[in-house]
Amino acid sequence: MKNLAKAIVFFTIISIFFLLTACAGARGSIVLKDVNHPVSMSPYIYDKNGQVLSINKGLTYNGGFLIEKTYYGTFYSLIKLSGDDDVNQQINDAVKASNSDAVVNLHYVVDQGGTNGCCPLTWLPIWPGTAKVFIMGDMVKISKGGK
Amino acid sequence: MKKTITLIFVGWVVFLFSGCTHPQIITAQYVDKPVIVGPYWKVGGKLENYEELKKNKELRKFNSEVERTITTSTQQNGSYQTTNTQYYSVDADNISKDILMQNPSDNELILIKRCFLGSYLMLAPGGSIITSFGGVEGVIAPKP
Repeated sequence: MKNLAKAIVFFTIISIFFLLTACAGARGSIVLKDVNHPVSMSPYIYDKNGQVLSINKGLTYNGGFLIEKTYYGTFYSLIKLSGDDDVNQQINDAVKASNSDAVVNLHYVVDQGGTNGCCPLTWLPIWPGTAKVFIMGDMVKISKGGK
Repeated sequence: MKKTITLIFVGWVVFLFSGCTHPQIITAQYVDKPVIVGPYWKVGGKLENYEELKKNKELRKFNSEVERTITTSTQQNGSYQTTNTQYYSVDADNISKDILMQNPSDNELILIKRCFLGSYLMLAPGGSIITSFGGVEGVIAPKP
């Protein structure tokens, strides 16, 4: 009888985890505290004088970048296993390689990782869930004659 | 027996590497002002108090999240089984809308503190839930 009670408590806790979180997945953040250039999520950026510039209005498009990152999580995505700020260096390298001044139109796409679909293994709390993220942006340079 | 195990293993490997694609884009492309991510607010201009600004409780804050979800459930009607699929999404344009709702003036900066994201997949014999979500947390700060 005691074992039955223990089993019921165990399955109740697991069920609550299922309801409150998810079976398999991951969550994370993108924190760009160490970038060396201005980065904007819109098509606009401020120049040295604080004036708003955009592509073809003071900015020259210098190419785009695509960074692919997989975020890992476990215990039904409650525990994060991936860091937040390792994208900084990749953005810095891309901007430096293209000799650009800034990044505009920063956006990202979140998708399911492959391990999320491995049912019934995903029911195990230790199963690693994943989130695939594609981070994209346009690198720009202030046009000649610009400020 | 050996063949069955091989079949299960191959199926599992295919499933592992295929995944279920259900992407959600996170963008602020419709905001008509710079949406700053990081300590540089202009070309050659760094916010020395960037970390303090992020923690400043007196500034106007915004938090916008978008998501895409597909829910499926199975239903048994006698010898027939039906699968119901429901789609739910918060459009990616809502991030731009939520930022513009803050009505930032020309003397203010739209500063993103953190871009967050996640995806999860719940599979059970009765159905499934597939979700991808993301968003931004930020503040409206005065220009230096």
